[in-house]
Amino acid sequence: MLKRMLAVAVGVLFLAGCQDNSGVAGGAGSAADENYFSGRTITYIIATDPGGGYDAYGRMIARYMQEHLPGARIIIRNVPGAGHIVGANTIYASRPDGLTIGMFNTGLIYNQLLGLDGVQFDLTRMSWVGKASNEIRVMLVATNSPYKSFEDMLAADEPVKFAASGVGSAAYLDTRILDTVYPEFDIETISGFAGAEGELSMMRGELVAQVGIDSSYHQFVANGNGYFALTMSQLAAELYPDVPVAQDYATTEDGRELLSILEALSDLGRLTAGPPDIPTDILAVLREAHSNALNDPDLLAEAMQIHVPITEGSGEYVEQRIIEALDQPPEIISLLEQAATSH
Amino acid sequence: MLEGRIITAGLMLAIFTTAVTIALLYFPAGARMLPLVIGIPGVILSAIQLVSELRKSDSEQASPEVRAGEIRMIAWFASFACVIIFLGFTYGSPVMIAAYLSIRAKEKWYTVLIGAALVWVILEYVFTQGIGIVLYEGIIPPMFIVY
Amino acid sequence: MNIDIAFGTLFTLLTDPYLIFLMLIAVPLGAFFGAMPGLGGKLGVVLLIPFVFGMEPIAGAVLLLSMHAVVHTGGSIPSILFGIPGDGTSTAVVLDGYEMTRNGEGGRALGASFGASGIGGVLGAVFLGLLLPVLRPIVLAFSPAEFFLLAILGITFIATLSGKNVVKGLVLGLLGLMVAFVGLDPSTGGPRYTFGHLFLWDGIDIITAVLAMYAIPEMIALGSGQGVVDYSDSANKKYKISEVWDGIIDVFRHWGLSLRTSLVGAVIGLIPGLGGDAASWICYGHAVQSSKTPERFGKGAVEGVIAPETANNSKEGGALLPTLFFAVPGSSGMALLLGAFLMLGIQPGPTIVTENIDLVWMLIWALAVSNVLCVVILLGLTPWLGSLANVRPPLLIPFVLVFALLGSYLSSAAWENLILIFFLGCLGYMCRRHSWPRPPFVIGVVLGPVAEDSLHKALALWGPSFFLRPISLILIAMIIGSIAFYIWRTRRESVEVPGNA
Repeated sequence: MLKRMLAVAVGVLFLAGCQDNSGVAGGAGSAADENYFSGRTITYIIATDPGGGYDAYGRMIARYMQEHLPGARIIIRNVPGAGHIVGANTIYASRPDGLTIGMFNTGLIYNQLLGLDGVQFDLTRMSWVGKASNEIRVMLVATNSPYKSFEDMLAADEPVKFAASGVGSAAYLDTRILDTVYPEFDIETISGFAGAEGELSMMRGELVAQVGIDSSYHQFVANGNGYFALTMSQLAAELYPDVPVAQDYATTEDGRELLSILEALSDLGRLTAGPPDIPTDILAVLREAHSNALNDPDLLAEAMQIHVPITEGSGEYVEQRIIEALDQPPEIISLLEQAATSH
Repeated sequence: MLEGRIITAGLMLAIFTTAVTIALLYFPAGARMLPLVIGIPGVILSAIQLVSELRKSDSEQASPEVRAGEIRMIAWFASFACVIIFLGFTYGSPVMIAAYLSIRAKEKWYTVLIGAALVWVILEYVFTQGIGIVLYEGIIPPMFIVY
Repeated sequence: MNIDIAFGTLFTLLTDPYLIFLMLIAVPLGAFFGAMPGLGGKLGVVLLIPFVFGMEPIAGAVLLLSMHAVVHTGGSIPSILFGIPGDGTSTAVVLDGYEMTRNGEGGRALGASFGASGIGGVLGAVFLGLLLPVLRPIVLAFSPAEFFLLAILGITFIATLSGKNVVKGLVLGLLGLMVAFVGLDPSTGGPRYTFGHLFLWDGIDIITAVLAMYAIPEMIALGSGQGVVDYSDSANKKYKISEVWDGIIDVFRHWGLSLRTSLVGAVIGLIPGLGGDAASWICYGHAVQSSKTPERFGKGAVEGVIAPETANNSKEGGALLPTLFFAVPGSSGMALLLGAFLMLGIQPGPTIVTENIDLVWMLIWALAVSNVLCVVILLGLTPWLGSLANVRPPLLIPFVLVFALLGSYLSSAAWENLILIFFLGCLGYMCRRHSWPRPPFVIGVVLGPVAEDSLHKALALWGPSFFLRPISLILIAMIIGSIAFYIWRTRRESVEVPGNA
């Protein structure tokens, strides 16, 4: 059934003729306006189980988009599996009529770059609706460790133990990239730490650090158990003025290229997307609804109350950044492959 | 004819042997460790069990009615799964409940109707609309109904 | 421990009509979500969260926690009445609970289950309160090394639970472990036994495995004329209150067991990373081992209902501790609650003891009181629950099949599970038919992932000498002791049976 829908999508592409730069083929030329969605049901797919960060963002975004699409109804559908891959595949293969959109982990960029198993999507071709937040990659270090700063760690003579989630996951690859970028820094990545297990392990003194998204560590830092030793995005300069930025310590051009991937990932958080080739006008309606939703003062107030940071970005912006991020020279890709398989 | 208990033991042996073979041939070193640690004893023990079953003389055999009943039930179970895969839960369940109640259970027509209606009401109003979870729509309905 | 605050909050909880009202909504909801296989308490919490916005922190927290606390109590209802486990933890209750129903003692089983859940929940909460001062060192003492050994300890119970068919039990236990290996391997991240199917990357989920091993075989057996309850006795339609009450008293008759299993459950819940599923099995195994007449288990021994039920509820009390005090969730359900607490403006962490201790006590009492409330409410329903169990098989079977398929699908939103449950279900039926003991399989599936994952981490962190840590050595001693005890006991029994050389 999914293959059938993919075939339909390809057929539409073929009929539509040349693609323009925005990557979205001109559709059947329908004069869609806001009323296109009136009386229709949009399915918002979330690539995780209920509960958890993506689910919280997704449900909130869906709720407010519904308000900004008069007459439309948005229902949530959780499609978990294979670390967001199943959800992304499902979104990619659905009918490009604007009635299916959803959210998945931007870390899937890695999966596509490395050509990992299971990927049935092409992120550069998806119809990007918008971004909801930054996900600044930071290095969290335990306060009970002997390292009081990033420079301490660079100067260490022994390998430093880092916690990471499953091998091949985005967080794992983030950690491996750091190891590659700083040749004098020897990171021993210990995989398998899901959720807050890494933090517990740090509290027990078994491990020293882990790489992840800043917003998930605020409690840990506030309780005095850890601190941010490094951030991996220039976006962080304002938020965390005292924390050094990874790019400043990169010594090679390749290193800087790799870090640019982390920069892109930090920028592109909580993205909403639809399948490729949603007709331009329908996509425009969706993008506008997303933008209005995320600028809605009620949503911003609710988000603040539930500690869910919001930084809105337009669909066009996301699309551009995604295409850039996925346009990596072969040397970088082979460096990534190396990083992914070493320890 | 092979008795069920022998087939069961044989099946276990087959499963373990296949699993161990796959592990030996295809898995990298780290991934294969525990499957082998568990799988090899599994092969040995299930072989022991199979031998023990083969040696046992013909113990109580199930009556032919029970045998037939089992096969029928498994066939029904398979039908439930297949129909739901094709028609989805909301439409497939009432169909299968009606089918089972009328064909196998030979219930009166109003029981069949009430049963099918009951399951439909629960799935549609408690699950889909009440709780708000999307139940699997099946392969066929999405071709006709736009959700 | 400040006595004023401790009992002051209890008084508030019991006398505030708003809080009572919230608990009265939360408890039936939680029980309902627990009773439906595949739904689970997590979904319930997620759905309640939007309603909780804007509530006072204490009120919102009480609502969510009360709902979460009684999920397992609800889960025991289908386990006992139909032999259909709501999730991995409820499977242990099926073993003896369903047998009791088949023996006509369903009312007593329900009573024992509710009573045990209530007591377990209360004791778990009390335990929570008592441990407040020494929390941090205890939680931090358990690392992947200890998780691995605890999982192994649980796995040794496979032998205990195999009854006479030791070889068969071991084979199925090993099979359960093999099933646990389906998915991505922790050390290389590569897929194992997935045959190219993406939906197997996360493994075979426990609900599908459990429904396939218990619900499906029961229905096939029922439908092929292998009789269950004597349906000719229509006077047996409702469970008499006296039977149910008898069950509740059973919990107190076996007070030693109830106390021990509540404690063990709470401790296991306390340790983040072990997974609460292990608690009910370890306690069930303990009940078998500590009984003077272990042969009764699996045939309708009420201790087989009490032990896992107390553990199921007390582990939530244990799991609340690291969630509140370290902001590290003790279980996946707690992870949700943690997020919800943050949204409500509660700041979990060490500061909660100094700044918000009344909230902590309120939550502790909410756990206890909601468990008691649940028992009271369900007691009222029990006579009618009994009539559910007495529905004629031809009417029951198609519904159970549909809901088993539904439960399997819902647990990972994958329609492929329907195919999987078909094949596993047939295997499960063959096991039932030819006396292959099924509990070891469930234990393998439940504990396998924890065991391998912890082993991988322990080896990565310390290398092969990881088991030389003090607590690890204690656990190893317990494992050896458990195996030795089992061997000694079997020896003794075979010697006593005349005619055995």
